[in-house]
Amino acid sequence: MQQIFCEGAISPLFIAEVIQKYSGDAKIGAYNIFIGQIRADVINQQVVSSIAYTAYKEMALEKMQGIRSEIFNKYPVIEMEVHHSIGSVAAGEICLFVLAASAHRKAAMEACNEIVERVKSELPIWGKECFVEEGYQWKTNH
Amino acid sequence: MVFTDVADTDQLDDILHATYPLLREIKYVITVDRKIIRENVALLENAEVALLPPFSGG
Repeated sequence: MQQIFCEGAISPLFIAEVIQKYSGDAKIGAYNIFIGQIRADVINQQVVSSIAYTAYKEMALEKMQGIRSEIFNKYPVIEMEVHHSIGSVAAGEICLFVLAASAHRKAAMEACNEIVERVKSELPIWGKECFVEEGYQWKTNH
Repeated sequence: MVFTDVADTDQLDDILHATYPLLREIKYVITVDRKIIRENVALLENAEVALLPPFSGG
């Protein structure tokens, strides 16, 4: 089963490497990528300093495999990548990277959007927003 | 946690509510063998059950 989790923040260099990896595939004419980054939200005068992610990994990977095959059936995408952080990621760092590649832009854009929405709503992953001072609250997705 | 002699997920939910009353105030879904269930499901031996609060990845 394809791994999606990486410990800590996703480095911009890693994202560059993924794009580089596909540069030899001349069937690809378009990439759409989504990069999610931790915001220093202010909640009741408390500033978020990091988010600590945990997951029900086995279920998340099974679910992601299902999403992956549905995306390939629904859109003419050539490649897709999903990388999600696990553990602590500081404000200003990257926690989610999704890439869809296709011959033409529309499929890549629509597929990428659907993957991001489904990663957020269907994968058993939880973010604990840790405050600069002390304490935390559990993140909610809208 | 390991439970014995639990027939189905409704019965398990009752046991958990009796043991942990605060669970009534929490929103969660139940999974059996990593699949979300929406209604009562019989539990076979070695079933893996989880209570999952709302997801907040990304």
